[in-house]
Amino acid sequence: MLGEDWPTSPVSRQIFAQTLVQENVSTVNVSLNEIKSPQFKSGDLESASLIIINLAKHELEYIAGRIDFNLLSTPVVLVLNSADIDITEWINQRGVSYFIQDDKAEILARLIELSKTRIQRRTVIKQIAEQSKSADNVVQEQEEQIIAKTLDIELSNQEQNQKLKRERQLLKFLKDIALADFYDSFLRSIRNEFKVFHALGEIFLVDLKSDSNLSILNLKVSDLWREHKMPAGHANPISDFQSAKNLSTFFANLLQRPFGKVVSMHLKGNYFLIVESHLSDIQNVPFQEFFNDRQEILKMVFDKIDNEEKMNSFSFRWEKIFDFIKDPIAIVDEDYNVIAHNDAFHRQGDLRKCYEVFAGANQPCSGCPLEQNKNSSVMKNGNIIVANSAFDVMAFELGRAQGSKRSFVHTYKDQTESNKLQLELIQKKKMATIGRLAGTLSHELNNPLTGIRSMAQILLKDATPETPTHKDLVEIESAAQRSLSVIKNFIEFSDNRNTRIESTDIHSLIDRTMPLMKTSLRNHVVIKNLNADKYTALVNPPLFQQVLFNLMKNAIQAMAEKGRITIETYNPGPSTFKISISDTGKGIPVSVQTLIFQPFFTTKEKTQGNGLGLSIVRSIVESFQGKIYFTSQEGVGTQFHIELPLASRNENTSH
Amino acid sequence: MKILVIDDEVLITMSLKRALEKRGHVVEVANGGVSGLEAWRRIQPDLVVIDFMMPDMNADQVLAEIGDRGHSKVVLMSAYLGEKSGEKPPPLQIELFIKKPFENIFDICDLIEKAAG
Repeated sequence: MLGEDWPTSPVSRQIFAQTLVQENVSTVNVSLNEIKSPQFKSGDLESASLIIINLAKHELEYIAGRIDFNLLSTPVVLVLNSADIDITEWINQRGVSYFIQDDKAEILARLIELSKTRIQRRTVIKQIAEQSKSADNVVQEQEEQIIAKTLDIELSNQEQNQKLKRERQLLKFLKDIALADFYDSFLRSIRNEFKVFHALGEIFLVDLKSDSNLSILNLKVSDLWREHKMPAGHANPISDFQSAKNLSTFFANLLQRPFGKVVSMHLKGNYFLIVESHLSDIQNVPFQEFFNDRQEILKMVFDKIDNEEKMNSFSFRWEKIFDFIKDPIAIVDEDYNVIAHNDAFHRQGDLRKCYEVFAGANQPCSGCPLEQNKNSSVMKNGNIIVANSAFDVMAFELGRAQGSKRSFVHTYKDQTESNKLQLELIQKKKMATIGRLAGTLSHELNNPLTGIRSMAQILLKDATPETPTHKDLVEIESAAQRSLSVIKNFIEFSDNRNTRIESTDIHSLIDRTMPLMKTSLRNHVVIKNLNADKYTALVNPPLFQQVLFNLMKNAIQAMAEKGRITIETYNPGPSTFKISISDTGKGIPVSVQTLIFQPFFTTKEKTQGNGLGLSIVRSIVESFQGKIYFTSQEGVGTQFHIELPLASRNENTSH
Repeated sequence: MKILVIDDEVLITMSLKRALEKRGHVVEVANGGVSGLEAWRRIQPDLVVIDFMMPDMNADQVLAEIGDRGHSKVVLMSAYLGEKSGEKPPPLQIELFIKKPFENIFDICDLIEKAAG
């Protein structure tokens, strides 16, 4: 109520007041004075649901100056007791909602009605507002929850990422360090990993070997372990290290220099990883975390490396043992590649084909068992000849090597000496057999031949010279004589009990040897040029006959068709006698020329010879201080030359 | 001179018989140890020329069998003994050892006559 009390009449006023009470509407009267007072604020009117103005007309202007009704959301009821047309415009202008001219009862009722509606509407609006507010609250709450949750998720994502990142870093570290195969590369990987922490000092491995000694591997110093004496006062270093107590002092004493903080890790057994740290306490926290994260990896990898090193030193010892073995040993794969070998096989470490390394050849050695072994499950041994030595090659399979190739161990046993002995034994046995045969044959043949010859001699005495009978008898006698001399030479040749070296007429020995080969020589032309003036040499006659016999036999065998054998003797110097036996045979291929004096070397078919010949020939000639050599041209022929020292001058002048 | 030639090789006994008979000797031959032993006992020769090795009996067995040789002198021949260095004829109380094969039959006859004295 602004202005005067209303309704004006006391009766109406009482009824109105009652109505208000009934309707539970409260009223506030604001007198004109109050409106005029500076404390009055038109905004306070907002709280009312209905404003009733009961003022004299002249007062209205004043109020209108104070209150901007247009701004009020509250309906305004203007009460005017006297009608005044002028005011209509004012009312219109001011947005007065109702205009009441007097306080008639029905108007009151309407007003109250109006007020009530107004209140109800307000209440509804208020309720709606409240409801919307609470809805807002819910929404807000939910929003907050969502935000919180999102934050949560974001946080956990971040955590997850960090965790992932950490694990990735660990994995990378594991990959890096897993490549380490020795203590030094292990340390190198650690240093590389730890370099993100700038204030770290040295990183090294400690091996607490005993109570008095320890070894340190510090790559800053050397790639090798260094022995140190344990500083005094460390009775039980392992427990000191395990508890990591006083280690700064320990290393300061040991290394004779100030030492930072020590972060240590027990790796395995007596091995510790030591990190010298100059990190501040705050920096140290992430480092310790970093360090601990890597603990398991480091221990695991170290264990692997340590085992490998032990294996390596174990295999190193084996390699040493192999190197001490005098027989060559090599592991080769099925393509002849050398995988491993000992010193006896080859000194340098370049691994190529076994035949290149061992034999200096460009193709597999003849007789190497690999060619057949690589396609077989049963291992065969072989024999090869390398640089004037004969080797037995013993093979056994080792298993698959790189690239799933099969690999074999080859042990090479040098048989040269034992072959020589064996050959000499075979030769002796052969000659003994021939000797026995010669004895039997000579007895069986000498008797009838002697009879034939004797009878021919007697008959010749009776026969008339120049008659055909006489001539026939001469032939019979001389044939018997030749036969007897062949037997005699044969016996001489096979006499292995005669080992005496004596001054021997070599020309005569040649003459006595030739008949032994008469059958073999009958297809060839034999030219004898015994031109030496001095031909007495110190030899064992039967053995030297064997030499001549062998060389002539070789010459004959080299000539498939009719050929020419030339036997020449001369004196190339005042004290030397030389025999050359030449053939017009197929010659000795250049590839085997260095091999022909080797025991068991042969180019002949199995039925023709066992390769005894030339190695025995050489050893016989050398036993007489002589030498034997040859020149040969493929398709042209071969000349063997024997040079012997002449016997003393006296014996040679008599011829 | 009565000479007995014992050798399993017929051509040898034939040759020696011819050659020695030409020189005026009486020659009896035997082609084995057993028959030689029989002839020896029968003709009581002045000289026995005997081969060492024969299929039925060797000369040492013949000489052992005959025991007392009386006046008979012995010449031993062999193709087997002595052909190899260092081999010696067995100690058989003989006048002469002739190594076979011989070069010339007439030289042998000379030697035999010389041995008989």
